[in-house]
Amino acid sequence: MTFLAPWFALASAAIAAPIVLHLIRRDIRGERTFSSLRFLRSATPPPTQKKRLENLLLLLLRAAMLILLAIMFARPFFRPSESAEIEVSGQRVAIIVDTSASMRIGDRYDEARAQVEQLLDSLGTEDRVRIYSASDIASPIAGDWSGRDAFDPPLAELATALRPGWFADDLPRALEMVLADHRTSLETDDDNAALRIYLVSDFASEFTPNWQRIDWPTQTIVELIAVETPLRESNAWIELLANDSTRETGVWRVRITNGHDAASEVLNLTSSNDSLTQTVQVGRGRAQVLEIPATESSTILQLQNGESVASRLALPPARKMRRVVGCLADGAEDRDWILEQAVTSVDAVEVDWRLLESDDLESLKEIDALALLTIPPSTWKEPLQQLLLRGGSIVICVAPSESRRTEEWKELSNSLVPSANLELSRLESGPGFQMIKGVRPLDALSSAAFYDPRFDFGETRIWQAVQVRRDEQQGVVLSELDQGEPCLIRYSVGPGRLFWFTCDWMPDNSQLARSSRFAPLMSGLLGLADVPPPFELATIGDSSDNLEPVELLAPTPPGESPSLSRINVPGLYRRLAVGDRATGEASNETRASATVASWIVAQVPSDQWRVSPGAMDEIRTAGLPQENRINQQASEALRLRERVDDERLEREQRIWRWVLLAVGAVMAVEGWAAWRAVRRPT
Amino acid sequence: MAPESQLLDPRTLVRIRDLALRSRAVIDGMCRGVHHTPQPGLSVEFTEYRSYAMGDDLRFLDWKRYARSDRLYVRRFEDETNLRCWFLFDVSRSMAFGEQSVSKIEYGATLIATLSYVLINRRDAVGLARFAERIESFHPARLHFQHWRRLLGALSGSSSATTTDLGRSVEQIGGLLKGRGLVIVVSDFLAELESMRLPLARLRARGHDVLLLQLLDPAEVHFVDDGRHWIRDLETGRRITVDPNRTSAEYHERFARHQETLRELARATECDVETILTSTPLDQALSDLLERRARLTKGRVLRRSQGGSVR
Repeated sequence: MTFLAPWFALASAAIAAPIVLHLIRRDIRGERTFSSLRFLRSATPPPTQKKRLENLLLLLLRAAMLILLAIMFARPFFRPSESAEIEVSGQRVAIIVDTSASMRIGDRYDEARAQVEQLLDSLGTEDRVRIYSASDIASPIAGDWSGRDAFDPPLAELATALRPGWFADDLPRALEMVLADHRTSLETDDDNAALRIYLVSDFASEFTPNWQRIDWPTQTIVELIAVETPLRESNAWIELLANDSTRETGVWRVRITNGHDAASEVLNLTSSNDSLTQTVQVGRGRAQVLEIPATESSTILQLQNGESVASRLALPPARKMRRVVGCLADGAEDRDWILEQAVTSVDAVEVDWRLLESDDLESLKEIDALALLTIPPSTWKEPLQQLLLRGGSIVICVAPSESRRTEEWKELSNSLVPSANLELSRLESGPGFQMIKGVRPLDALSSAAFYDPRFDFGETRIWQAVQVRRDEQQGVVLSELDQGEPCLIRYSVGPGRLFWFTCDWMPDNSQLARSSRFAPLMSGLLGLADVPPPFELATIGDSSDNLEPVELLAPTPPGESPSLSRINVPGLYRRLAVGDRATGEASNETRASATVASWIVAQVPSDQWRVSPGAMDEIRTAGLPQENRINQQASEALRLRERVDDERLEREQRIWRWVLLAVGAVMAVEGWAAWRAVRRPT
Repeated sequence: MAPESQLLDPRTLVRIRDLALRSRAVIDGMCRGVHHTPQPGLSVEFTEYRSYAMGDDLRFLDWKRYARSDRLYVRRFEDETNLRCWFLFDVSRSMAFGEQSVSKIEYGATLIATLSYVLINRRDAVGLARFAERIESFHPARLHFQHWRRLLGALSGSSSATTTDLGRSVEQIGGLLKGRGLVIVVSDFLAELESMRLPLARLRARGHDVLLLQLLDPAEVHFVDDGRHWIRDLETGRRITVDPNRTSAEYHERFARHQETLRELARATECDVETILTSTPLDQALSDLLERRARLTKGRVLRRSQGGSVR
């Protein structure tokens, strides 16, 4: 018999009430007077000896009545045998072994392998085992769930296949991948087996909410097996800290952390190019930040604990954050002075402003960007081309007063961009004025500060400008005047950029000089706002386009191409400039001339160096289906279905009516028995 | 049980509110149920001779014996005067107990009323003293029926005293009695007895005959309790519970020891003791009592005539 509302059966506990009442009746009921107590001794009646139940028949009847009532309200019914619960024979076992970088510490991985061997020995013959390696993703290593054959793991091969990598662990993600694998396999095999997951890990990472978001299927049990091998003398590591723009760029800031159970507090820090040999004292469980002078070439820092190497770190070469900006003025002092004030006000980079003379060809070789306010002599043609090929920027600002020198401007344009075919003429704005439309967000100015919507030029008025006629196939118009005339044109020459700016900033011609938007605009055009940081920090597993390893701390994984899209090994990478992506054989030439857009220092996540499992307790309480606990969400659906069936059966059988009849009969007998008990003399 | 006996059943008898009527009913029943005994008229009976001493009343000289033996003897007789009888009635609260029969105080009152009626009818004087902690009221011995009526009124009341002090009460009554007579202490004697020893001895020394008439309820003799009630002392009001497994045996043992103490006390003070259960029909109880008293008196006379000591 099954109950539709079994909690009502708890009401049968009410039979305690008549029992207690019958027992209470045995207690002292009243008072009896007596002539003298001199022959009596006061004593408490023994509580148990006289606790015989009076009127046993009456008690039984009352208890039966209560039980029947409880049964009636519990809505009993008989469930046919075919609707019995499905028995599950055999189970699926997933052994997930953490192969993240933290498993490299000490003997953790050896211990993990030993745990796997023990697990395999303890499994039943009907269990179907599948072994996964897991770091940020889960990859099946061995075993198959579909077959019913006993799993005979090739442990030697398994040991080879399972190697700890350099990645950080993302165990929730790995678990989800295993569960997805399980679901797919269930659908394919039409199987209903339970899944038991053993997760062997050091649980070095911090707890994340992703553990709580895992959608556990029914009949899944997870068992966490922690690998806790205490670190010995290699538990010190070195990390490069992020850029700090307020500090000098010629210094790397590194943090040296010593483990809680380190063998020594004295560490030696050396560099691969012998530029650094330093002894550092770091207490156990403590960290220390050092400033390491940057060198011109990349180097590898090595942290030694006695004779053994504890940790290594690849560092990029020093990055120059100083820019030399040259200016060829047109004789109008105010014009170049205003530009100088605008350019040197940029905080992100140190600007070395140089006012050039016509014969100052040597200085041209040192500058990174050039502002041409007038037509340079013909001897500048080659240095300008070299500047562009070096990745420099040239901004040509044509004053309306010089628009008459049409041929000379055309010659300059053709010398730098032969296909440009630029023709300049003076543009009169008529009775009104022009306004610059918004600057288009193009790559070349992507990091320019004036791109900010706050720097929109929509309200800046222009009274006089230069009209440009050009080959529209060449160059990109970044901004226009409101009559459609180009205001700012960009030409790409190799890695360099050439800008034609047709508006003047002098107050006689426009409002530009007095605009707060002028300085961001010009510094952006001169490439001052686009200076990349000396390096970027990345962790193992990060993805990025066009990566090239430079200094690796571990061998390149076999099969990986030199140009990577995902960082798998800690070390130093460089990201090539956009637009210079090399493809095929023809790309080798351009690769040689490619510039480094940024250096990337890839490190193992610091939490992978943790000594002890940090998140075990939190993971256990994050809703993991553990032993004897079926996943709530999935089993809820099963329960609902069973509930509907049970209600239907209960409605059809209506056993409660018979129970009610029995209650009435018992009540009648109880009344008769009570009447007799009352009449019986005591 | 015969109808007349049923009539004298204590429970039936106490339904008669009037104590006088109740006592007459007992007397009638007693006369019918007991063999007729000769009226006691022994007050002029000769008891012994004693040598004449100076000062003896010459009226009691036995001149015939003097003629025969030439010696002067004086004849001694039983007291010719009427018997003076004092009832010392315990009216403490414990006497109000009557679980299975009438209460002891009702039984005792009826008993005293009946006996006093018989005695007065026999021309004996009857007195009454009520006591609990001490003598509460005292009625000297008189022999007219009007006095009997007053005694009946005195028998009806009860005491508010919370304890019974037998020794003090007997001591006090000793000081109130004039002349010698019969002192009948009607009580349950469920109190401390030892204090009564000296006062009883003094009463006896003054020449009183003392009868300790113990009235007991059958429940006091055959005590049974199931441990399901508080037991409250009628006198002190104290409540206790008892262990039913051990109480019965302990009670009977202590009660038997108490009764033995009472008998030993009676023996030591040369008092008589009679125990009457309140379940006993009153006429039967009185008949038995009077019969035993008659036998006892005859035995004593016989012992004296055979040279025993004269009290």
